[in-house]
Amino acid sequence: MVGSSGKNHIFEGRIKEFEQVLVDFILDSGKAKSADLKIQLILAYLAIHKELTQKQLKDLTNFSISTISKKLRNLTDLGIIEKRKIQYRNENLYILKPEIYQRVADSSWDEFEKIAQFLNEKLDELKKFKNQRGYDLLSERIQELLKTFQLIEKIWDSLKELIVMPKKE
Amino acid sequence: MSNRDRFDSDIREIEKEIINYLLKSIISSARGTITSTILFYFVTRKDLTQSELKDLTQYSVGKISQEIKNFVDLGVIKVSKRSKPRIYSMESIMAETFSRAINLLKINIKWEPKLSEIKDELETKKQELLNLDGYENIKNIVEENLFRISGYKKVVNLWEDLKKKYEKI
Repeated sequence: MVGSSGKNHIFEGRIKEFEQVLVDFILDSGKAKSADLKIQLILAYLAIHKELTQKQLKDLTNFSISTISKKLRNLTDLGIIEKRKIQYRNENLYILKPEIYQRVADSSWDEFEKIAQFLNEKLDELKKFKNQRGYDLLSERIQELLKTFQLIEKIWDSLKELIVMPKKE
Repeated sequence: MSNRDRFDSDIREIEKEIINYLLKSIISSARGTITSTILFYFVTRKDLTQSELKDLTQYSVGKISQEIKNFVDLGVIKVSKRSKPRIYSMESIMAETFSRAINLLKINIKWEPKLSEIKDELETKKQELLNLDGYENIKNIVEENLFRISGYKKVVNLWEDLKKKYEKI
């Protein structure tokens, strides 16, 4: 099956072998993140092919269409991938958005700021229940999570230069 | 929720809101819902038994036990073997976040030789491979990852230096 790019999604020969190495690499990295390995395999193929339909993903992963559909919905809900209707066809293309560090770099820490803001609101709300069991522990843990975000933010500018690939002009 | 919960109801409600928010956020990423939920309860509760996790999440003992095993293997949580029932702990959110991130970077770094081999072959056999579908896809993703890995190596070195400094203090 030839995709919208005019290229076949089933690679051949040496390129197919290279694709398998990359898939293994992405799965290995996923295991260390405790990632759902079915999701990770879908992400691996999307990272390599850039855009795929459900049918193409089925050919590549051998998962059922219902599994693929469910996992793609999770990823779309999380904002990790984007769904785009293919003109004149009753099909959608699924496209991987830039990776988390690229997104953070692009959004200037916006998404983490939102989480921090939410956690600060919850800390305030907690103060109404100072005498209840669990208050001390939950407050302490939220504060530690916020401090972790602050520390990552402080070192992020230096880190992103090292790990975020400059955009090609 | 059973009445043996260590959190009173108002605190528990706030905790649930936090967990649900984090599950929909960028930090959940490609992790499965079950994995993320259990991880976030360790963030809010610090110490947990399997039975407490079952009460909090309503997941089966089998699922919880599998997730906990993965977290222990990855060093995300520690187990106290002296207590009965066993208590699993995520002592420091900050230390856990950083050691997990460094572990992930090291796993990526391990793949550098294989990715470099692919890069070399794509260059030396360019004429032969260029006509195959996927040549550019593989080339781009290999180059992106090699760029990141070179950054990861610098980050890990910085981390090791920092650790040595703190260990001396």
